[in-house]
Amino acid sequence: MAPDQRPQPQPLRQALTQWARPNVSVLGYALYLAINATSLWGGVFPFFPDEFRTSQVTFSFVISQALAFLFMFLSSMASSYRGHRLFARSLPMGSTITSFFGSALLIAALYLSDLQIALVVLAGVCLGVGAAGFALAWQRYFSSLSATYGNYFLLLGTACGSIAFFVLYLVPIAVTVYLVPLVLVPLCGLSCVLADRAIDLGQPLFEDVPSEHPRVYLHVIRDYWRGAVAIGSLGFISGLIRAVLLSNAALGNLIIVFSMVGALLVSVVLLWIWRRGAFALDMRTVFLVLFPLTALGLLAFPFLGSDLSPVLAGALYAVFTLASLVMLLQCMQISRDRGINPLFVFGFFGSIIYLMQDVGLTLGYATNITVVFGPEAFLVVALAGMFVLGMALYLMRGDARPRPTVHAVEKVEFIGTPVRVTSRGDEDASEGAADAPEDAARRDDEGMAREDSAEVEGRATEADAVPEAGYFFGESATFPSAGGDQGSGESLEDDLAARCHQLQRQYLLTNRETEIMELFAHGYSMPHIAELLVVSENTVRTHSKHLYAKLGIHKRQELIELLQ
Amino acid sequence: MGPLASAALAEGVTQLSLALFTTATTGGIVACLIVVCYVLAHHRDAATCVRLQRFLIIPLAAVIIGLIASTTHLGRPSNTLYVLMGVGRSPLSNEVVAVVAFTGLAWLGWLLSFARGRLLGVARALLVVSLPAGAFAIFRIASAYSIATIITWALPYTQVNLMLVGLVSGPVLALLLFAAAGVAPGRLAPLGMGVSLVAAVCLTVSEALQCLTLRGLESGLYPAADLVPFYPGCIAASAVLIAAALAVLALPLIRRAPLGIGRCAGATALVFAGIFIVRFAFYCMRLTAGI
Repeated sequence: MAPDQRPQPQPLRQALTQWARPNVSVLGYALYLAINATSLWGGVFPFFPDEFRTSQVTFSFVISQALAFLFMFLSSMASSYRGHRLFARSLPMGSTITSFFGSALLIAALYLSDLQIALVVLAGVCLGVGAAGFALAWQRYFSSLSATYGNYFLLLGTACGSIAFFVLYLVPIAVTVYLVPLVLVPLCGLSCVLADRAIDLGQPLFEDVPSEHPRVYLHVIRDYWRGAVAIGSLGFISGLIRAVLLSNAALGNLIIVFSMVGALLVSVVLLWIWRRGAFALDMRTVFLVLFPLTALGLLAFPFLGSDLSPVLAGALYAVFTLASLVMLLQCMQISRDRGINPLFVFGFFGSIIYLMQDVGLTLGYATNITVVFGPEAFLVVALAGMFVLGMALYLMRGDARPRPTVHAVEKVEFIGTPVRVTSRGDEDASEGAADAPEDAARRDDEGMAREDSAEVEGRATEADAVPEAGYFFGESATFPSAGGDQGSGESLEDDLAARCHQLQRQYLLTNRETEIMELFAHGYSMPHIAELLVVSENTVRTHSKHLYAKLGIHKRQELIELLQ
Repeated sequence: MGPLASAALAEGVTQLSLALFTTATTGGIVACLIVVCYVLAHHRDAATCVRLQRFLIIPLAAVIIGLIASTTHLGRPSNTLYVLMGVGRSPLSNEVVAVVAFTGLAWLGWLLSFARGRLLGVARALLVVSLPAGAFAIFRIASAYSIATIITWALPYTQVNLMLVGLVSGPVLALLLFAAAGVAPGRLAPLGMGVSLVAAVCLTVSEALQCLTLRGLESGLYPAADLVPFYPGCIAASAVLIAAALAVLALPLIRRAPLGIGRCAGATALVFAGIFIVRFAFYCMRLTAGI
């Protein structure tokens, strides 16, 4: 069988039925987001009576919760670096128990007014630990799946989470506060435990002992700290807004609603784009797109009336939601591509982002104490927000030095969506087998055109990015020059590179798999590739295993033949 | 329709959540009891038992939805715990606490059915304890409406109807659970259908007798029957819907074909709809003694 006529490796109908079926992980993640939204984004549960949500109660809760959140991310990073398994293993049950007690303590604070602040602080700590624990556990699970499934479940879970949150409004308010700890938290914990059991711990990203090769981890930090700070700057703004506006319970509710609508829209839009075809994005591009919008919003903030300001604040919060979602996807991609424990990657990102959010919260709280709620407070938000946002932009764009690493920042790849593939399959079935090769060729052309345009756009916004095709070919591409595009043009002329790209499209290979395929074709050994890509040999082995499985081959010689 | 009937309908609408509670919760509890009995009584393979235990979430969801619906009138979270203060003296508090106790036991039992090792034994033990708790909860729900001042409710038919309602919908819901779990119910299917059919006939007779009794009841101002002139129609509609549901389930049983999940879900929806209609009419007929 000629390589071009090989069948699509993904079983189409099976994919559809698997993806369309209710999925414990999607439902569990959605439930987690809904529960989280009741506490994390709104200060204290929006379902508590307004008179309970005084300024003092809300800020005590928010600050203690945020600090606990940060502590958990730092712990995650430290424990995964040292290779401690206990932390990861205890996440699902530990998070369930602490979330239960956090919610219960909050209810107790309703009745015991003398101990109210102490109980609220304790509840904030418990809920912060629980929420962060769930976030880490789910991230670990999604990272353990293939990119296609992991990304899809995360996006679908996010969309369903928003819907689940709005469904909570249908429940009588008298019961919601009891429903959360007694029914929803146990359900969420159960889903998390079941998902955790399904994780294949034999993958390199879990077997890896980071302290044995710290170079790989240092490279990740070096490659991504700017991106984390960029998202953190949006977190800083969200913290400011949260602290300034949460002195008013009704405004807090509005922000939650905006935030959840934002999450729903973003995930649905991403799924819709994905359905239309493969695409890729990364934190850096997303930040550069969001920057002008956020800056415009911040500038307009002090000049809007009190009616419109909360709406804009909600929109700015929704921007952080979008950035956070992209950050989650990026963390998963890094874990898979570089074979790094997801708890380390997410812990690293989370620590920076939530530290900056905590600083924003503290500044917002200080603003609340010193300035009366109104235009002056909004001016402080706008000025502080613009400063941090500007510094983040400087970090992203202002560093003219060549990067001391061979890595480009990995893009989050959305490939192999079964919805799209299945519709193709149906077309093929209806049009008959004879038309199939022509169809495939036409689709390939369309796909190539689409990807080419995406590539051009990507370059336009990433002037200092390492040219993707160029850096497959050794040392000269390691430190890109201003003429990087020229190198890219040369590589496109290369038959082998073109053939690799063709196979990537045909077999839905990820960028990293394509990269490794090309290095194999150039005769690099596995240790050499690991050295070049600054990953462990185990990681290269896993990528090559996936590559061979997708191509339906067993030996390197077969790969060479396929490329010829 | 006269002004009395309109007012009664308006009263019924305000109590829709309670109609949902008595419809869903009683059926859910009975379905749980049936499945737990089945799991405990049969020495089947552990995997089948655990699978059935895990699908207990279906009737439990009905119980929890009913319970949530019943709390719409509480208003504030702080009111919820006041219910506990009325235990012993208030039939409503007794009812709520009994249902919550059953739900808690069955819920924990369900959660632990996903555990491994010895905790599975604990799950089983919790389900065993949930059996008397469920029976007690049904009894308390049936007794909650024995209020002497509401002459149309303080009839023996009220208690009998509420118990029969559970027996009509419970087996059908249990069959839905079996279908969802992919476990063949065996002889339980005709047995459950039989119980449901007999209970449905008894329920219709009991409701008809209650309807007749209403003609002899009156407050100082008007007869009770004038409140709910539509009650006979509701009874007939309910009987038709329940009969249709049982027929839907009976067809494959006669042909010795397996019960599909869609068919069971449809039958369950029909049964619940039928019961809901008469429960709604029950809340419409609220008539206090005196002027």
